[in-house]
Amino acid sequence: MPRNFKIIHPVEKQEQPSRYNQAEEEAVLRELAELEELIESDLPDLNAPLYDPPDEETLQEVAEQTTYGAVFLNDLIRRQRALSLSVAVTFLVILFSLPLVNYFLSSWVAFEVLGFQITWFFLGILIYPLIWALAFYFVTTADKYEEQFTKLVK
Amino acid sequence: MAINWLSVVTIIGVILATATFGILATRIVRTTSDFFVASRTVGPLMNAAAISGEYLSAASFMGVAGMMMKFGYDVLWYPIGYAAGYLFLLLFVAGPLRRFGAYTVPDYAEGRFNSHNFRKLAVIFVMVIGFFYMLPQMKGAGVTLESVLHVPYWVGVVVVGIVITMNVVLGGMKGITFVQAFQFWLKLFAIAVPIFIMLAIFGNYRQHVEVGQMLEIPHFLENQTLTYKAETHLHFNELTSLTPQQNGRARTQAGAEISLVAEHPLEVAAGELVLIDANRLFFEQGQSVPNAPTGQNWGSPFGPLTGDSNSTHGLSLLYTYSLIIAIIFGTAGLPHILVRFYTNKDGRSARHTTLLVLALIGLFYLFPPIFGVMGRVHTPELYASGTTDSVVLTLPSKVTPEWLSLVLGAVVAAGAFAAFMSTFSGLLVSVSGALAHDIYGKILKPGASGRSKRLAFQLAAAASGCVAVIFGLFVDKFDINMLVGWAFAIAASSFFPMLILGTWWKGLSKVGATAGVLAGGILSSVSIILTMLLGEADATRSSGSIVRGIDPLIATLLAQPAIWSVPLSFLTMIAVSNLTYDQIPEEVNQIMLRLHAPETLGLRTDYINEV
Repeated sequence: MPRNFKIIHPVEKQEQPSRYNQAEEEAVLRELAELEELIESDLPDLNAPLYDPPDEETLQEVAEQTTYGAVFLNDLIRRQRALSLSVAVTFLVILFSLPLVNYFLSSWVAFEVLGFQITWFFLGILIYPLIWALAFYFVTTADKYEEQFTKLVK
Repeated sequence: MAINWLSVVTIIGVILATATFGILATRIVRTTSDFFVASRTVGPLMNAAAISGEYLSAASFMGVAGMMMKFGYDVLWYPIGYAAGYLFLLLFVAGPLRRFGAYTVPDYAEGRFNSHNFRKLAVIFVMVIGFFYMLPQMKGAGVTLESVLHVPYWVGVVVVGIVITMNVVLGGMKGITFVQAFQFWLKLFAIAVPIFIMLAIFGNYRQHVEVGQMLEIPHFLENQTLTYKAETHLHFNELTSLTPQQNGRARTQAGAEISLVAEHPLEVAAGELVLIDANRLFFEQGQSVPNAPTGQNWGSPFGPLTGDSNSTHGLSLLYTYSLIIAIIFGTAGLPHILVRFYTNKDGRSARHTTLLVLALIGLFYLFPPIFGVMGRVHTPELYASGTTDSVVLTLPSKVTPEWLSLVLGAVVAAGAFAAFMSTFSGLLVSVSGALAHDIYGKILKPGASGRSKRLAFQLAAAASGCVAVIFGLFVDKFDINMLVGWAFAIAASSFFPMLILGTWWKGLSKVGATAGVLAGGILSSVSIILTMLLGEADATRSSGSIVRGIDPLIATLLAQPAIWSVPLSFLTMIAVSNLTYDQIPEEVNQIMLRLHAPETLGLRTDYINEV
């Protein structure tokens, strides 16, 4: 049975977790890395139910932000953020370099591809498949991270 | 020009279908929760079509094509930005926002920072952005009815404003989810099918781009008599002959005042001519079209949109970057779009929905620029009359045989109608939702019953609709797309930084977020309002709206503020948060959990769960 933690807002003051120390966190992180390796290796296990009720104790930890829980969740947030940023930066580098190319290499972009000047062709048509590919990569990877996290907590 | 009665039929069909859906939906809508967010039971494809339907406004359906025709290559950045904005929404906002489980951006603002005052501030910005965005929809309505029925501009604004407002008052959001989804498919059909047929008749896209560039100066394809208001600026590319239909005065570029005599042909030299009095001018077939950009300027990057002449190339680059930033980041901060994400089942399906949205709108945006490109070749008279915004509606009338032209005209008219109807509905829901849910339900009368909140919503929708109509009467001289771009710039400088940092950085404090939203939001609004009031924004002019007579660098930064206002907002948030780290909500870890923990854990409940 998934437990329902009702989080009411404005949040009633919850018991604040005891702060963990550096060494403890490092130890947990190491353990986490090992666990992740394990999970990577048995990823193809697609039969595992997605909504399997997770282990009560770990769940409690995630919810209450104790040492383990905080590290688990922070790790997930860190990975998601790194993924989002890397996709965003890839796209922005491509997009923001176009005006510069138009500006400094104006003779290059007048080059014709399929009868179009390349710069028209890229901005009018090609950019959309690029956006789709990046978005697809992000969605599948983000789903994978979350599945791993759910397994980890289980 | 005769009225295309077929268009009248299809437009009435769209209105009736929309109203019927709205009324039917009121029978299904039972609870307040239904009314605001459609109970979060909408499937991903339906939701994606509804999001796309709401997003593709008059600016996308008519404005992109109109500006494309008028300014050329640079306008391609608009549809790209409109689409790429969703990539950023997907990467940073969609999943966490849904997981947070709140209805509106002000809910998020309050929940994330545990502050009632911050909610009030967010409500104000929801309304500023909403109203800015309603104006171009109103213009779209005015232009469409003007073009289809030949009624004055204000008739379209008033009629459409009343019809849509009624629909929202009666149906709320659930009605709109179905209607929006239906309207997306209608819009895609209405833009794509005429394009394929016209390409078959007029020759392919590539040829049109080529011809458009080779048309160094477009010439009238048939005799035209055009009506001008007083103080209209006309720019002539070469010696042109015209015949005034009324007596009046005009001012040449040299500053000399000349008198125009009715029925007496006149030779005008290359340069600018200002009509001091209203007049009607007759141009013979083959005369050059005033206010058309030259082929070189139109076909190459850094043309008339981004600056005045070749001498300001560096500023054009600045303008281009600022425009891209505004549109991409603005999309991810538009309140009426963000509210749609709460209708997803969970964070994961919010991401999948966004992916579908990207596919749908990317597909759509392949088409509007083609209308603009064809417009330069086949309807050059729109440059002279300053009505390039109507190119999507006018172009089908150039098709033969006549029955086909009537059918295509009716299809695009229906699509245009769907475009501003759907977006205007969404904006009304968002603004009235903010008024009813946030100002009434949370600030004025906390604990108000669902019933009285619903009544407040309906009153707020009626009032907001009226205000939008009144302001809509005064924006006919601005390009639709330009107005929308400004709404994006404000959203990009206020809500976008708050959402990104609030979702991904624990260290964002209440004071920091407030300072950033205020700094970016107010300064970008001020510079845009200055450009609107002082800039020579005249739809007949062949250059972008920009304040003249001051340093061109400052004028560019005022016209497109995003390049400084977005970083300013981010930096303010970070700097002030670092100074006020004691203002970080104590339960920030709980908040992060709600934003990021997958629902599969079954840990959280929605922020608001009223029945």
